Amino acid sequence: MLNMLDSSLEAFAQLPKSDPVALSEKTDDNYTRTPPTGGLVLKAYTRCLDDDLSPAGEAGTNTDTYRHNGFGAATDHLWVTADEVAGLATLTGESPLPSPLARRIARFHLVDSTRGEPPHWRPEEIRSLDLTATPAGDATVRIAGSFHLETADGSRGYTGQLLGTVSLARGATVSAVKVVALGDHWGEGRYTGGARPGKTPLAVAFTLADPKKPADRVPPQGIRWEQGYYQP
Amino acid sequence: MKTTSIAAALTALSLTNLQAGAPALTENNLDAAFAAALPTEKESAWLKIPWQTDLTSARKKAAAENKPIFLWEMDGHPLGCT
Repeated sequence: MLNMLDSSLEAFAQLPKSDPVALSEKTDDNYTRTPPTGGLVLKAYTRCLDDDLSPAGEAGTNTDTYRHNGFGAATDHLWVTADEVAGLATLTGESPLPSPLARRIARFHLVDSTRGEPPHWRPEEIRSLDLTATPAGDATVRIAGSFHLETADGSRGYTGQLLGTVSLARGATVSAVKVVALGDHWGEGRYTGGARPGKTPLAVAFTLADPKKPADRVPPQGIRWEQGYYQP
Repeated sequence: MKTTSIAAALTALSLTNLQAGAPALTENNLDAAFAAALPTEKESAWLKIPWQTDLTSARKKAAAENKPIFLWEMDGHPLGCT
């Protein structure tokens, strides 16, 4: 890789000077997504674990098959709307996590993305989803619950619990997020072959992103259909 | 009969091993589960590069600074590879 970069830079330096090409400012709305105004961007990290909660295997690519072995932390982003954030900030007692947010988390983020683009859960594949939000003092909201996601034929599924906290600062802004889903995952998708056999631990950690960084503004994988992402 | 019983026992043991799975998530192991899922420093090293995620912006910046563009990309949907 370094050799390729060096030779490319050398070739670039040999190119004759040319006038800059005028670039169109037009963008394709089909592929343009921006984080929700006043909302929240969370990192969603997914990793295969061993039973003792240590990371499974070694991250990287199998040099025999050139297939990603799925033992690294996969990254996605969860977008939360301003209304959903305000709802958390004004809780007075234990409440179900609003359905759109709970279903968004389940369908698009409780997935095994460790070996590439995973299939997202269809609405009917949510066998059960019970997530609650509870004020826990000191401007903290506790998120807890369980989930059971499974295809009709049972060939792919993920069952487990979700637990953690959302910390609020003044002005109902979120200052920290520490939420994790942990459970057993099994099966693989069309583009995510090579899953470990049987039911194995998979964790998804949610933490605050920094939307000022370009890399943190990359849209969620599940937002191809924007309305479907926000109202799953 | 004895052979069948041993085979059945081994099969049951094998299934038990496969299905040991994740422990229940509690306040006691929340920190461990959360930390385990986070990327390591080595895994996050690529973020030290100030990537541009908009090709038009990158082209403008490259033209202004007379630098080539290094594209890191893969196949798939533009909104589907994070």
